[in-house]
Amino acid sequence: MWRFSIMNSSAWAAQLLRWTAIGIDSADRSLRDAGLSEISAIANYLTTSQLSDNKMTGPNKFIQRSYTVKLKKRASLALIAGVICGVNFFYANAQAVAAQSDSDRIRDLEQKLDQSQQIIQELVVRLNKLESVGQQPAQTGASRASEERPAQPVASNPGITLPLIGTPIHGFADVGGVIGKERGKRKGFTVGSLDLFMTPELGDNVKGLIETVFEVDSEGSLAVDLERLQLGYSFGDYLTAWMGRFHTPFGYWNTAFHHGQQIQTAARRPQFIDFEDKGGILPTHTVGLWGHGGIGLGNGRLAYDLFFGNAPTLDDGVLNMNMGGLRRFKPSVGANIGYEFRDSLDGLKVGLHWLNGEVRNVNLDSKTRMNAAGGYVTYLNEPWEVLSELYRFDNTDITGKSGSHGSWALFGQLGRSFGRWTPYGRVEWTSLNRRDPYFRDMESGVSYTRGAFGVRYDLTSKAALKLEYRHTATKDSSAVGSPPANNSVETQFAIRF
Amino acid sequence: MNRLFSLVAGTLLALYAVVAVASAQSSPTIYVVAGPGTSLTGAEIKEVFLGDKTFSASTSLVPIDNLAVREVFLAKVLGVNAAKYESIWTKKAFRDALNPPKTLDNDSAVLDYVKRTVGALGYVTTTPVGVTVVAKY
Repeated sequence: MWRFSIMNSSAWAAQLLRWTAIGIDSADRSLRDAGLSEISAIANYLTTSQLSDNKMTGPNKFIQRSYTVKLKKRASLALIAGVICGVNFFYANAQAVAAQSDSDRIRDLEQKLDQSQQIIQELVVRLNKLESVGQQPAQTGASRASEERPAQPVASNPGITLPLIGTPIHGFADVGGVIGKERGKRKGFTVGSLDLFMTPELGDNVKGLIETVFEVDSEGSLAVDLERLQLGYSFGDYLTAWMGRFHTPFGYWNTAFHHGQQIQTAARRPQFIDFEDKGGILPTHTVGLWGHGGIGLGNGRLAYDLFFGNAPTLDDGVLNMNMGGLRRFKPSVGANIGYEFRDSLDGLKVGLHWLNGEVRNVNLDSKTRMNAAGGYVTYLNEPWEVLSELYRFDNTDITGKSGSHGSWALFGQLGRSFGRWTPYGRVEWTSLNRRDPYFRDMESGVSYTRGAFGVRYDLTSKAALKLEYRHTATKDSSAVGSPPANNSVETQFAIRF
Repeated sequence: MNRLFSLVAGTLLALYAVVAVASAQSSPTIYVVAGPGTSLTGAEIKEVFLGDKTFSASTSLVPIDNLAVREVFLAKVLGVNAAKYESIWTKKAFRDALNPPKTLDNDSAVLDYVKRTVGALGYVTTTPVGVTVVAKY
């Protein structure tokens, strides 16, 4: 039952309503129609109506009391709404006034600062003139010439925070453990790799990248690899030319992540694009020339890669990039072209790739013209990550014994971030023709399918924990050392610095 | 009931006042300034600071981060936070051998460096004098 203190409180409420009405009226006339008339009517009724029960008589007393109770409820609600709106507009006006005064003050201060800076500049110019006039009779030709050179950025500026000498070293490292029956993988705790890379500043257009990897092989021995040594020159955004050892630019994954375990979501690369000595079927490194660049096209960017280098060879079933050259030079060539979308499709990249080279088996009398082409689609826009690559092999047995052979390989990975957590899943599938000498002579040239899913947890922006389960089924049971199916679980602690 | 409604109304008023004060405080104006020999459009600023554009015609660009207002610049202009920004440059360095932007402590250091360095591009919050203003946010 509503109770509303009669007479004194109603008069107070009425006056407050009038003030609120005035506030609404003055602050925002567009809202006047919404409540002003009703509030004023209620206010007038409260002050003029007879609310005392003693003054109500006769048969209209009950009707009058019912209406009064309803009116009191409406008045209370209107009071609350009116006070809220009134304070709102009062505060908004106060803020507007304060903001206006603050902006005026800031404008004045900025003008005074501009004037002061102009005065200082004029004084500096005059001082320089006076100094040059005063010193002129004592200058030699050589010192005068040195003062006429344009001023160079002062390296000792206390604002610069980068080191003035040396080259920053960055890198990645990972440790972890594996349990399961994955072919070629040991079980237990493992030390992954330590990847150090440097990008020395060699001048405006000259570039360099040096990367060294320390990793433990499957036998537990420490191996040191000069992963990349590439020196280049940038002609512009449209072309940077490199020479040396570089990551072969096929697909997306190989150049984007490579040994950077912390910057890739999953614990492992897809098997068929793993490194040459770890089961990969493609030359992930090339020694030679590499050009890449990009141009704006439409709302996005067209990026390309072209390379020309030493053809790989098969040595004891493993691809060898021939870092020291070849006895008889055979080239490998390739290209990658992709379009990076912007605006509403920012993060989407689609592309095509192709690589070709004559691959000789140094142990056996076989040569293959390896020819792989395909495409990729990636979408990297938080919280989503989509990676997919497709390869079609049309290899030719150059020795002429078995003709041409076709094979396929593809993978697709999907991940989504939920804060620090990123669950992901990946599917890999290969159908490798074992009559193709390229795959027949390769230790890892075996068809397989793999399903993997895992989760990544970002401890910080530079450290991540991963847990991954993999189920791998090998299609060709005749391959030595290949169980038909196996499961493994891997954990990884990866950092970057 | 009357007291309950008064309490609710008072709470709503107090909350609204807090929100109004917070929203009234605006972030500082960012001026993106360029050094001699630099010709850029506002749309290209993001590409430069994310490593997708390293040249202006034949001039090698030198982006400079202003530590004093970097957080505001990253949010307002690039739409990323500091962790994401660092991750982007890590990948750029790893793949393309690009080094991240140099860092300077404050507006005066940035302006001084930009004025004297060909291809420099920086950002400040004080009204710049003597340099080209590429964009204002």
